[in-house]
Amino acid sequence: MPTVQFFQPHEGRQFDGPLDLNEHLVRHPTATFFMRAGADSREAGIRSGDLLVIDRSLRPGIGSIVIAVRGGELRIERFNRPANDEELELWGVITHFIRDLP
Amino acid sequence: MNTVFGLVDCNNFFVSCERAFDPKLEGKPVVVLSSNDGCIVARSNEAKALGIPMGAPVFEWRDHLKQNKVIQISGNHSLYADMSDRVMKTVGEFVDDYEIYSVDEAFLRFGPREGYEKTCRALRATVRRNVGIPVSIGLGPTRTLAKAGATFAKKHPSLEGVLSLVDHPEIDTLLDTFDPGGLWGIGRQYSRLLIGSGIRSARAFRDLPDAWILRHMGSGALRVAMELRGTPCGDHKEPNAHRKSIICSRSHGRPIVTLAELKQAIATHIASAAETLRNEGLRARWLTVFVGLRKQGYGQAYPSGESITIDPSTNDTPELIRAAHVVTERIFVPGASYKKAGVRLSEFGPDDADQLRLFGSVARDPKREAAWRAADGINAEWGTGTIRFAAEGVSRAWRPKAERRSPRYTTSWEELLTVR
Repeated sequence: MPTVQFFQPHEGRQFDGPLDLNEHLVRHPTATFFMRAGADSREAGIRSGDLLVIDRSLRPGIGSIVIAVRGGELRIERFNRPANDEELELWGVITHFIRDLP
Repeated sequence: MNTVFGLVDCNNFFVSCERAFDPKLEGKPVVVLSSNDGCIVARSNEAKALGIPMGAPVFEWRDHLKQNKVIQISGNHSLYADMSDRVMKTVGEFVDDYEIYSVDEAFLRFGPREGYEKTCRALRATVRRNVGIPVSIGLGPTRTLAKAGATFAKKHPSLEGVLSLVDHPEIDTLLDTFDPGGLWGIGRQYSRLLIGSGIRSARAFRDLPDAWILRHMGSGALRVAMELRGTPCGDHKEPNAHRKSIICSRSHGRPIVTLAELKQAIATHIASAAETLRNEGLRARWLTVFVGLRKQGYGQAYPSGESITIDPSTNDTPELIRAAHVVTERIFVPGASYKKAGVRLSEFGPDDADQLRLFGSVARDPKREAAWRAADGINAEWGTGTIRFAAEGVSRAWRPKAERRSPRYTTSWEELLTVR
C-alpha cells in the first residue's frame, strides 16, 4: 500500500503565524524566570532596570552570566570558576536581558 | 505484577516556593498563613520540629511563634499556583500517565517493566533544578503504598527523595514504624479507635481480620488495608470526608470551535461542580480547566489544561465561572477544535472560609447563600441545570488581609525580584 508523506510542521510552530518573542527568549518555559537588575553590573553590560531572563535548566559554561546564591541573597555573577567551587550555589543562567530605550 | 503507582509529593510546598526566591529562609522555621493571616497552612521542617500543628490558629500560637523566631508569611497563592503548574508540567515531561491530585501532589502510573525508579530519580532532580522545588516520590503496587513510600522518602534523607515499595524485602519492618493515623483514608477518629484497640502501626492494621475492620471501620478502611496488602482497590474514590477534588467533564458530540461556546461549556461544568461542592459543604481554592483539542495540521488530539487559585476559597457559582473563564481565555487556541472540556475543583481544606467566619472579619452574604441553597434544591428535585446562572461577573467587595505576603515573583511584572 503506497503512502503519501505530508508536510508536518514542528510541534509549537504552526504554519507561518506571527513571530512570537516568547519562542525566541524562552526555551524552557517551566524553568524560565524573570528578574530585574537593581544596579549597574560589571557583568555583560547589565544596567539597573534591565529585565533579566533566567533559565534554570541550563548548565553554565565558563563566562556565563548567572544568578548565584551568596549569603542568602541572589546575585548576578560571571561564572568563571572551576566546578569545584563548593561555595557556589547556582540559581540559574541569565540568557538575555531586555532594556527599554528612552 | 501489574501497574506500578507513584506519588510525587512536594516537600512543604508553600514554604519551598517562598524559599526558592528567598534563600535566607533556608534552615529557619517558616510558616505560611492562610488568607486573612488566620491559620497556619504550611510549615517548614524546622517549624514542625517546634511542635506547631497544621491548621493552628495564629492568635493561639502568637507567643510560641515569637519566642522561637518563626518567620510568618502570608499565603502568596499566585506564586504557588504558578510553581505548581511548573512542577506538574515537568512531571508530564517524564511520565505519560499521570494525574494531578492536588496543588502539590500527582499520581503516576507505570507499566511493570518500565524503569520507574530511575525515571523518578531523574524527575526529582529535574524539578529541583528547573523549578527549585524539592519533591519526594513513593512507588508501590497500590496508591496507598505509593503514598506511604513518599512519606518515608520525605522523612529519611538517606533515601534521597525516592522510595519504591514494589517487592520491598523489608516492607513489614517499614510499616511497623508507620503510624496508622498517617495512612491515606484513615481519619483522626479511626486513628483514635485503632490506638484504643492496641493497633499502633500500619502493619498491625494491615494484618487485622477483614471482619474486624468492616465491623468497626467500614468498607473504606478495608480498602486501605487491602491496598496495604498490595491489592489495588478501584479508582481510588475516597469517602467524601477525604474528598480532594470534584471533576466534571464531557466529550462534545460536535467539536467546539469558538471561544464563546467553549466558555459556555465550561460554565455548565462549573455550575454542576459547584453544586456538588455546596452539597458537601466544601469550598475550593484551586480550579483547573482542561480540554482535549485538535489543532490544524496535527493528527492527534492532545490534552491541555491550566489552573488558577481562588483566594479565599469559595463555592459561589458566578465567582467560580469568572475564574474559569479567565483560564479558558488563556488556553483557547483560535482555529483548534475542542473535543472535550472539563473542570476540576480541589484544595478544599484546611479551609479559610471557616476561619474567616470564626474571626468575623468577612461578612458572608447570607442572602446569596440562601439563593444557592434554593437553586440547588430546585436542581436536585427537577434535575441539574433547571436553574442556571447567567455567567455575569460579580465583583469582590473585599480583599483578604495579607500583611506579610511575598512579591508575586512569577505572575506580576511589577513585583519581579530585584537582583544585583
